[in-house]
Amino acid sequence: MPPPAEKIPEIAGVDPRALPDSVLNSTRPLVLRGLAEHWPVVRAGRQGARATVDYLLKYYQQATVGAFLAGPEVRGRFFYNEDLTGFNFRPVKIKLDTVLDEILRFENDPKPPALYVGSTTIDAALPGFRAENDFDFGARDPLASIWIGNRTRIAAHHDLPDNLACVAVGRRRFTLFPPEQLPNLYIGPLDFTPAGQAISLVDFHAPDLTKFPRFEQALRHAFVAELGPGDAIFIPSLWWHHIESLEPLNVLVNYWWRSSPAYMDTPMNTLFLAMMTVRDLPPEQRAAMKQMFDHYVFEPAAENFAHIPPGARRMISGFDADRARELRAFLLQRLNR
Amino acid sequence: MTQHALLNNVHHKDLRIVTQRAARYGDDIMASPTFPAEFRNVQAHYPIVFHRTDQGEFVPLALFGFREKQNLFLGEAGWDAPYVPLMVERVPFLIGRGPNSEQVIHVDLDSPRVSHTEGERVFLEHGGNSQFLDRMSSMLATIHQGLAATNPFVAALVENELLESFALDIQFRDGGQHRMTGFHTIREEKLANLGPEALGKLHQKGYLQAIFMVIASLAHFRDLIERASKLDATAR
Repeated sequence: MPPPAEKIPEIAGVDPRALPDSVLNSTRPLVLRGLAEHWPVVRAGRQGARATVDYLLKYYQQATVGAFLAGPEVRGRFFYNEDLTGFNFRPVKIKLDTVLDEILRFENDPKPPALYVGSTTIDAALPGFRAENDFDFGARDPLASIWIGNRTRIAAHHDLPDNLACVAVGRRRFTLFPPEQLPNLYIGPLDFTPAGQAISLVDFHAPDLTKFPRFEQALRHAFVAELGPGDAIFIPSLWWHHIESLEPLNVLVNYWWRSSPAYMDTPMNTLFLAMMTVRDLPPEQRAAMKQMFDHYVFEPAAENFAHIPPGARRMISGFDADRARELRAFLLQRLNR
Repeated sequence: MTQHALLNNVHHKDLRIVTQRAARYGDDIMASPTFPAEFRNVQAHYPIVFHRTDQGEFVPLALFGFREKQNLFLGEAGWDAPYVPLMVERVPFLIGRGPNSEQVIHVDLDSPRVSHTEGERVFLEHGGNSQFLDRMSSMLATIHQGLAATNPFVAALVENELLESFALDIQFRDGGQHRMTGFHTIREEKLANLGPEALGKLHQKGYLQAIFMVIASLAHFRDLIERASKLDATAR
């Protein structure tokens, strides 16, 4: 058996009306107990599933949402099918109140179907909800989303934005890994994914260590936390996270923001393009490109460019929104061939 | 037959579209749907009339001929007018709905315009969008918006009782005759007697301009008759 995973450090006494930079700029995961315990949705959640649904429906205006549906046999684990040619769930567009009714209908069923409304923009689905259930992010302008479901498991994956996730109702278990655990997590296809992000192929409830032996290494570097109503977790950008929802009804509110300017596209685009244009070059050419990436991207030391008059360094000296626009136009034209 | 497929740069990498105008490419049409946003261009060349569908809805049409399959603008050298209505130009592309109900481009693979050897390339050599595709794509967006704005326009015409059916008795130069029926046009008398409030409402929505463009377009019946007169009496 692997060693018990490390607990995520917890900090208390954070003021939800003024989230400090020490939390929001952290590069390590943090648990903030009770950060949202004053939220009305958290209070409603403590009254039970029916009260939770009634509370959410106060803000319901016939919104259609994306939902994942799967039979009881998947035991809440949204994943691929056997040979990774499809998925074990059905993505549907559905009225939010219908999903909520279904969740209630199976509340006491020991083997319910898996019902999950993931990553749904709160202001679109439940307008007004944030007026009384929200944090103050100051100058940051995060995307606020709500996640509603019964007992489900979302495979380990990562996201580019920093993430503050808050359990509003129910309980969730978070298992986190630092970015460098990539090779030990056995990440699946990049361009055919259940919900946009590539996922670990390891079943965390029954890891097949013959098939995925290095997963044991990953577990040595895992951080875990179980969150209850009102508890929040900060997940740094690109940290892998596996999330289990543990109750018959679970609601999560999360905030995503990027610490870099909006004109910076996702570097995943760069990775994909590099796979197409760099990876399969002859070895000498690839080595030359590796050096160029180091020189210009990964280790752009000032002395590399001291020979260029500062006013002539252009892209090398850095980007602003206008320079990014210029490059975007250039790349769009070059890519469209 | 039509076979609509979601356009994509893998399955349709060699797709070309013939843009020549000829009967064998399906241009032998008597009329084409149009929409108020296009009236300014259409009324410069074609009569605009209204067709009542079996469901009782009125559809504005650009008229090219007097009977089924007759397009008096179609000749050996192609389409003899500087403006071809967008609903004709868009063929074989159409707007469809993607999995997230977003707008996507579909192509009718059974259209005679579809080719792999001649015509405009849809995709560039490595899968980029050709200028032709970019033009088609913005054309489809214009049509989509234009058609959506047609229903309220027609509803306002109906509400003000501004549509009436008409019959056109045509006298060709050589004495031949033809009677065209089945279309509706603007009831000019009723329009002239509309009160300031009703006119103001129509004007506010831009409908008044469109109404007068429809009226002005009827002058092109003279051109249509002229074109038909040049045909053999049997071809009319």
